[in-house]
Amino acid sequence: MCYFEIRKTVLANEKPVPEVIASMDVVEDDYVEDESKDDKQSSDDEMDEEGGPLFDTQEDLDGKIPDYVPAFFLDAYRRGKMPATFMDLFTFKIFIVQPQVSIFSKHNTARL
Amino acid sequence: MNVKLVSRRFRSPLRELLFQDDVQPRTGLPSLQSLDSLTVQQRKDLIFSATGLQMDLSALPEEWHLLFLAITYWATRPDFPITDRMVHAVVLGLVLQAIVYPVKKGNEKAVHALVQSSNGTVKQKLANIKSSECRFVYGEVYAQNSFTKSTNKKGGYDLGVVHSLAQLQSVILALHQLNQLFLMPFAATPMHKIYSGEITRAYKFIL
Repeated sequence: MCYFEIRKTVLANEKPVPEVIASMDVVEDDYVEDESKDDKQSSDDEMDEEGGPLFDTQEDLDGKIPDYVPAFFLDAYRRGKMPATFMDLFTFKIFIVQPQVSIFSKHNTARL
Repeated sequence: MNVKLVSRRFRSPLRELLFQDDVQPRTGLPSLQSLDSLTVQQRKDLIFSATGLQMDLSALPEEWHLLFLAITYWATRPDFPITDRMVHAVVLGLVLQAIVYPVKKGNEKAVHALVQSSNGTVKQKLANIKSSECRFVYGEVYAQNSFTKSTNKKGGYDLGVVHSLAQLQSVILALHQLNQLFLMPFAATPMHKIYSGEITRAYKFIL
């Protein structure tokens, strides 16, 4: 804070979070519902090829670490010694494929 | 565990099950919690079992073990359209990047480190490399086909070759991630020093 010369008085007069940000969850649900009515090209970011959402429920995004993950893994992950691939598998149950130049009609490079 | 594979197909995100219905988990494997109590050889055997291969890599330098395991897996898969020329191009690129280019620049310590960790015939051949030979090979092969040379538009990218090299890179990435999970039983491979997709692609057409 001192680097940007922001004084404490500014932080003390900080305004509360506006209602727009607090109600983002509701806005997001409406956005998903409206997205299904839009054209396919404009709705490809959060939808898969079948038109459904990328994650089934909100719980999929919680990212809770299961109890069966061993301590040595968590310790190594926090030190940057473990790839994020396994943490994605443990928490979100997803495997994210690295983008590559590929011929989509041929064998998928991710299917080893 | 229904794990979803997240990728892209053409312009749209793709989500499908990573494990198909007919794929069953392997039995008889050690648990995740017991990985740190296994020996180095046991963890190496786990990686070998994941690839379905059993190779004696002791003759090669330690930092090449994982790469050659990946190349062997990639070349022996029946559903990958890999040719002998493709494999030769990858190995030639490795030799040129890891040996010829450093020795030509005067960095003979790089080869000395490889000699220390190798055995048998490979060790003997690495120890007898001469800088004059490396300069000759560099002039004849490396300089003529490096990415700095302007490419003819007619000889543009062959997507089939690029796709095959992308498969090799996926195998290398997966093996490196497994190696990290199993607490590095194999030495880390310095991919930036020994692999260049652009050079490998170019050598595939000259072999």
